[in-house]
Amino acid sequence: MEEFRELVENHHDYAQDWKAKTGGKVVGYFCTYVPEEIIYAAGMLPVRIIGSHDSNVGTERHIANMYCSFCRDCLSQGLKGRYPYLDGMVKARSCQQMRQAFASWQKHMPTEYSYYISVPALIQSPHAKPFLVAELSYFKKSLEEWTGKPISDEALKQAIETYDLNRRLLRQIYELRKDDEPPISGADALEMTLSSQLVDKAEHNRLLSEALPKLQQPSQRPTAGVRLMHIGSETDDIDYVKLIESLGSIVVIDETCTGSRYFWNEGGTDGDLLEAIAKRYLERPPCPAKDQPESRRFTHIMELIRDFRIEGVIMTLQRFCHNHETDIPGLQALFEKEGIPLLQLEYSFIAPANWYQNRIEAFLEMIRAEALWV
Amino acid sequence: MAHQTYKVYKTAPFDCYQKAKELRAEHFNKIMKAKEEGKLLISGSATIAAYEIPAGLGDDVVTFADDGYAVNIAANPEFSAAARAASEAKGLTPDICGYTLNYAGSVYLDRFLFGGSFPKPDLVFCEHNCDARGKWSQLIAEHFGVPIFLWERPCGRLGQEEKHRIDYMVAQLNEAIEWLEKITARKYDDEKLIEATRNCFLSAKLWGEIVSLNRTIPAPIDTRALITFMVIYIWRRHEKVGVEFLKTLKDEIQYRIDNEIAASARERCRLAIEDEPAFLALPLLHWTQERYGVVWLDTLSYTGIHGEFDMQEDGTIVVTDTPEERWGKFKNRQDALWALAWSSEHSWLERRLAYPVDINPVYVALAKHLRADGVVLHRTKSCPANAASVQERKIAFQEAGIPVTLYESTPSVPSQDDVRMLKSTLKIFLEEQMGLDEFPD
Ligand code: SF4
Ligand code: SF4
Repeated sequence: MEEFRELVENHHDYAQDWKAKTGGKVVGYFCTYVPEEIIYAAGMLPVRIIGSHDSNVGTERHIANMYCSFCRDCLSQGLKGRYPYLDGMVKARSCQQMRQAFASWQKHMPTEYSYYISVPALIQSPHAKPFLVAELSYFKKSLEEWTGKPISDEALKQAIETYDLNRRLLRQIYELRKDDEPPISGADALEMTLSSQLVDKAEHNRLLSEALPKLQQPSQRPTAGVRLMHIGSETDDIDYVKLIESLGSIVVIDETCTGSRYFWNEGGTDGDLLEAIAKRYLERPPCPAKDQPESRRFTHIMELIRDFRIEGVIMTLQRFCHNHETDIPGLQALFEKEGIPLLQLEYSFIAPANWYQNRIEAFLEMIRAEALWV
Repeated sequence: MAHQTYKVYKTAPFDCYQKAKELRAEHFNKIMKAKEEGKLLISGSATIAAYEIPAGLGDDVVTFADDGYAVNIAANPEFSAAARAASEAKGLTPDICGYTLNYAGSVYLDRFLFGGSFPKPDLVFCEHNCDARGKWSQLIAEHFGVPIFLWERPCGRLGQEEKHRIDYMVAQLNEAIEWLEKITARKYDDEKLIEATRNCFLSAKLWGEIVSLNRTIPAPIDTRALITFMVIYIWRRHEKVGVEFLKTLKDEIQYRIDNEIAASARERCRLAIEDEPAFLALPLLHWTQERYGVVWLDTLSYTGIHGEFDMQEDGTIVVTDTPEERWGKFKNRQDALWALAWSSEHSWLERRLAYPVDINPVYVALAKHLRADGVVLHRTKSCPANAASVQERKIAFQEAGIPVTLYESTPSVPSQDDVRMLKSTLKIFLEEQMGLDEFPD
């Protein structure tokens, strides 16, 4: 798993090397609702902007202090000059907080190209798809105008296939985590999914294809400990997951937008390609900001809990994240009804991971004690 | 510019106050009595189409705009504290939208601010105009187990293609009408929709004109009075009685202008207040008026709801004509729906929630239109949507050379700390940036 870790740790170097090697453009993006396939089909490298978990610099001047620490951490990366190689920036509508980070980035560190895609919030509406297809076609047109080159159907098809292969491989690896002795830890899995969002998908596919057969060998791991599910929004803190797992548990599945929500479903290339892309994004496991009027996310979470034989759930909450936090009463009630232990942790991007140690230990002890008495 | 010298003007209370009070009380009475009178009670927000679409279901439909109710709770510290505690007991975290906490808490307590138990709605019909609004409606519908229909404004950027955005809204509103017919088993009356929509835009134009009259020096009306009257505009805009009220108000303001009746007796500093006013701190606005000769001009927060204003290319602000003045009489349902969607796309309030930095130039232009000497921005911890871009807005005013300050408060949780902070912010701003001394006693 070393390769994936290195890609995450050195992703700025990676993007700059890619640029030097290919002469292509690098496009930073906010939010996993950005249809990366279209950017990729234009011959560019889409790179997700993520946090760095060090102190925020200068964001107070631009973003209210009552916005989540993730959006501030992302903007801080820009203000610190960590993305000098970006040629363009793209944002898909997700939450107001990230929109603000994007808007401030655009104003104060403008890139050559910038685009905002209005992905519907009401993805359950029958009218969302034609609207999103129209949005995607305007986005595609704007990329074509920027590069001066049309994006052919063939290129778009290939890009979708490359992205779908990545999704399939990640899904196959995730499936292996259903085993009693999962071949990878939650931290390793996070490195895989995170690196996928930072590097060329074709290269990532090669690495995943090499890793998969090795992981399919009978596991050498000792019994893994309490099987946990990790729920949250942007959770790119690998040390945090490592801490959880160092205390006698293993995260076998996540429902986060840096994890499974990013790749869970494929798009396919049937029919009109923009329609296929729109359908894929509308049908992916939803971000809570888009999960209404029905709470479909809850059904998906319960399926994962059953399939991965989850013993407890850790819910990592970004303070000031209205969307995730408003789902708490519903999820609490559901877990209580189903008898699933839940630990809610209020997360801060700049807090050291071991802040949470006592509460995680107590939670795991409670689950183990219950198991003893069953 | 603010001046040390000043003229003393006449002041007088508005004759319209009494009528506004009656119309407001009537509005809440209708909500409270809706169930016992067998009326259809709809929960929603007060934004675009909220009253106009349900109007087609008949005259016995009562729309309960929960955002306005949440604001009323905010003005009642004891009730607000109990409501928030009830929300937190249900698992909601204290850092989310404060109005969601106020409203949901009142539901969980089964207590209505104006007495009795909480009036259970028959259905939820709401615009998803901010992230919190959608989730809030979902909570309420799930709690009561009633059907819910959400429709959204797609939040595109200014300058991007807009036709497909309007088409998307129209499609959703058409679907909403079919859904309402099915859920309520009522036949939808397009004539009632058209009449409500027509009234809505007549009200919007009148409101734009009323706000614009405040360019006059001395200002005939200040933000406190505007807020009082605004609730009538927002809640009753679609009714004939609402339009008539706004006409009377406009005439009264014109009379005040003609007779130099001012909002502030010693006007010498005109300040625009941006974003939600700190409701608890309204007496402070009075204090600045008495001690420093300030007149408060409300600008974008409550003035650009239904596309009342346009900004011309040269940056001047004009009151927008109604859709019927622009494109001819509404002939059918589609004309009315299209007008509602179009106004949503062109509403500065909606844009403020959608992609707020895009309208920073409009904020600046409106402040200039109202001849503001300075601007006080409010960063509200209660409302993530209103807090969006407030820092960038401050930079925009600074870049335009307009003196500006910013304070933070949590209007949904009345706090004396916030009031103290605001008082010292205002004092420093008025004395240091606006160069004003307090009037000698
Ligand atoms: S944590 Fe919540 S508020 Fe922050 S970026 Fe994610 S969805 Fe938005
Ligand atoms: S976040 Fe603001 S605009 Fe949205 S529902 Fe809450 S108070 Fe209203």
